[in-house]
Amino acid sequence: MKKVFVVPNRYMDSVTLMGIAVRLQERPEVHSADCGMGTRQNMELLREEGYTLPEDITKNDLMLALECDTEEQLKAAFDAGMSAMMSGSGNHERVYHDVSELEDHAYDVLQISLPGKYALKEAYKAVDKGMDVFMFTADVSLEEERALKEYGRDRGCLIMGPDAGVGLLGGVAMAAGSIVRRGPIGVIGASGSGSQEVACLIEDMGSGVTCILGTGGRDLKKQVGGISMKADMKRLEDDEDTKLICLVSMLADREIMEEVLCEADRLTKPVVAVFLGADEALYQRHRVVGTYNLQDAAKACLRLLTGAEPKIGWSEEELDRLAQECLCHFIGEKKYFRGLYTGGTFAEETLITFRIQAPDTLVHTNRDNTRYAVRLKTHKQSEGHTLLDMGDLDFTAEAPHTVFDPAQRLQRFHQEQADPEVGLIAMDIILGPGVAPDPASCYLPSMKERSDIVYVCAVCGGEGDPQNKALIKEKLRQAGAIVADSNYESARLCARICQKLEGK
Amino acid sequence: MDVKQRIAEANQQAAECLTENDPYWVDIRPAGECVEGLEDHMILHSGPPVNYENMVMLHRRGMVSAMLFEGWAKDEKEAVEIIRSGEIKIDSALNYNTVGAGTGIITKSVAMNVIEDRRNHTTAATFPAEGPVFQGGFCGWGLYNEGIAENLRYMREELFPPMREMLAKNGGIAIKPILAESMQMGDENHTRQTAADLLFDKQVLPELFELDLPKEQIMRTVKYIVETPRFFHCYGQGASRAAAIAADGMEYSTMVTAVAGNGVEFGIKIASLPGQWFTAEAPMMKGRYTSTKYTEKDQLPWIGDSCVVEVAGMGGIAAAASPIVCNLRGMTLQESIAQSREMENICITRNPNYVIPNLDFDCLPVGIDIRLVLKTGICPAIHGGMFSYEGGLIGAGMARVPMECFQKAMKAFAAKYSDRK
Amino acid sequence: MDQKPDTNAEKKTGIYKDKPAVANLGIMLFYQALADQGCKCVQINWIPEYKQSEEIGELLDEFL
Repeated sequence: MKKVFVVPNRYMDSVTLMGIAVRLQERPEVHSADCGMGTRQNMELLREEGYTLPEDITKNDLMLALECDTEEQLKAAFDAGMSAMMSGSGNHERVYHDVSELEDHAYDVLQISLPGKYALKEAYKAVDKGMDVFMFTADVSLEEERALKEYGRDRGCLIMGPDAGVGLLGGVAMAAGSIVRRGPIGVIGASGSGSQEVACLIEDMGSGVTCILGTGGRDLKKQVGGISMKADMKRLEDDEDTKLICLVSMLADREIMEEVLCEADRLTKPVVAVFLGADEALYQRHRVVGTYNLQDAAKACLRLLTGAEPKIGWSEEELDRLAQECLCHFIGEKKYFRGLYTGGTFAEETLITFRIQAPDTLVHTNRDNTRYAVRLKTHKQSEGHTLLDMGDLDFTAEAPHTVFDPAQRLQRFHQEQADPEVGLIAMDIILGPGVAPDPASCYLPSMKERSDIVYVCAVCGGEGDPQNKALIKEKLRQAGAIVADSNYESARLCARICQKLEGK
Repeated sequence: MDVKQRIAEANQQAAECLTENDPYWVDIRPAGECVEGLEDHMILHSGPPVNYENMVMLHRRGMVSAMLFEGWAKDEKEAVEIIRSGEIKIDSALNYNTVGAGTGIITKSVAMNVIEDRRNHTTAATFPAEGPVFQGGFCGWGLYNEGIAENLRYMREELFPPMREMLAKNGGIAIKPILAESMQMGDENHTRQTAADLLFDKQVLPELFELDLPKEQIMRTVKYIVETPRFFHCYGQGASRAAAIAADGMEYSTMVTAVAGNGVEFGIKIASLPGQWFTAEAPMMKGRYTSTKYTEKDQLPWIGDSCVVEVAGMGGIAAAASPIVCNLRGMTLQESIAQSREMENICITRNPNYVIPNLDFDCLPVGIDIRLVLKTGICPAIHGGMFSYEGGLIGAGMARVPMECFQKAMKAFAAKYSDRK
Repeated sequence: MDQKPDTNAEKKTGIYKDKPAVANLGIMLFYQALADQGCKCVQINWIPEYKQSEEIGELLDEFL
């Protein structure tokens, strides 16, 4: 049966109306559909097709001419047409203004990057809904962090952060994290790039991870008490797919680290730990396999799982030979190393490596923690050997974090290249779906142009990251850079070069 | 039914006055014949009520212009005396079924476009554009001189008769289809109505040419129409006003039915409290000046009723439809879209007549709800023209309706409807 | 707490086996990254709650 529905006084563009007619015709019960304004021509066309038109249609009225088998189908099709007119492109999702507006059980995780004073309130609403919380936001006090983590723990919700930059849940990368192959290792990381590096190296060496749980950079402080790290360990102990747990952190409060290691003692699964900057004493009375750099942590995981010795990095001979070759570039005034790091943990790991492997080399840094180096007078100007944490507040107050936009580091890169005393520049390149889509290309032209300087790079990323890790490594090599297997290898090489510069 | 439900229902109905409206331009008549309550020795002005002493110079000048035009005084000195003596009734145009852009000077003898809303059964009168030379002139800028007087006469006696004849023949020109189509062509119908002008011309010009009148006479009218910038502006305002009037008096509705400024104060009215104004200091618009010689020092705070179109969901609400207008203020396409999206948070519903490509074909929001403004802290964005103290348009931009207006309105609403007294 | 009928029901004791559904609040880039990874996600169109006076706050409670 044919029927013309009239919507008086409703103007619609003819092309839009054609689109609606097409959508209606896709419905199986609609034999034909025509939509148009009540112009003389349109009315003629409909009459020719056998439709009977009401008398009083004007050119400002809308006509929906439909052919179906039953009245009900006609009405349903008409309703669908009206709905299509109101609902835009059809992709219109419900708009939420607030966590409390989310339907129950519709979402598992809330990822927050609002300013601190707003983020907390929303996080509590999420926990009330039984959601896990991933909080990139950092400006939350330690007391507030503790209170939120206790609240979450009591309700069985994961609180990842505040100040969590990296996470991987069910194969989905959070914030600035990488997409890493699934495998049997569960990574729990306090700081961002540390856990990202360990997980990516695990993938490089042939295995994978069940998750990367970011606890945030301050979880192991006294006032917070390691609530998240402890809760995460319990979760992974109970997770049937996780066969081995790896803890990643910078050095933190002694007591809290002790408590965490005691917790680890109580688990049945093997645990590897790296607390960057720790000494043997920390791990001594515990069952964890203690390591001292991110690469060794990853290697320890593989070793425990497979029983085989994983292949990564340069042998001692290879390293020495490579360093010697690099030394040839240090002619004329050239004598200094400049390290420009996106990842705070990479900066720390490099400083520690220098301290151990190039003890005669005096390094300057902008980092607050200067156990291993001397504080720069100003972050704007390098002095002697300098290692910069570009994620530090000094830099991020002036421009977007390098991991999201390379512009700031590119500028500093050129500044270092222009310094005639610089012979060696090291950089980390971080990949992931939530960071700069092209983090490396910008350096290539001047790298090629200034081939008189030695460049050492390490790329931290997963195979699944959109930036194409293999291609980036290849391009860096073509531009003349040495691409190390990991940040630790990069630090090793730079430290060896600096030792040789001291004549050692 | 509890009070919240009543409010929700009332707001739906009030918003329907705006979305279901059916405005037609049907005639051109003296204001005294189509503005109800506009009597002899009465002058209307834009914005909330203000007395002569407190008016900005433009309005005071407009008062004098009105006196001279109507012949109620022979010169400025006499005009001011008579006004001060209290003999002249002065009131807001928006307290009547009319609307005044700019200074909004309206008296009984000026010719007005009559807009008849056939769904709402309301009528609004709106001042026609004063031609390419005088543009704002009498009504917009409150000016009066020989040239303007002659122009008003010329329009009345020469330009309008063919239009009236056309309207008598065709029964009226439908305004809404023009607005709807123009909104998809880059107009937001406050600062920009370029497409609407052309759509209007396409419809009206052939009908004028078919009239049995001398070609020269028809051409004078045609030239007036096509050469006057922003010709269609008054029709959009008239249609919006006729729709808003229909919501006046809707019990329990918290919908805004008027928004306007008089250079001193800015005021809103809401549907459930007809006749009451809720005012605050008039804001300064921010935007671009037509010349680098102008700065904010030259600028008058908001003056004009043209934001009646924002009440009806156009102008600043429709920023996404007109990124070009927003670009005047240095906004990007994304920011223009964001402005309309922001307005969604304070509106009652969507207007199915305005489907906007830049919004991914969502319909524009419509019907400002004072409760939502108070809850979100988002004040309506109004587009408009910037006036100088001397008179004359010096730029275009945007301002926000002050929060204070909504706070006052909410308290007055509570005074009327609260159980807790 | 209700049991969810899918694999993520284990999350209370274990950890996510499949892609979680993520609501993003804040930086648009992070929402885009989630969408690019093909997980069910939504960007919450959040506006800070405007602090009105207590009097207005009470009126909003009464009428909104």
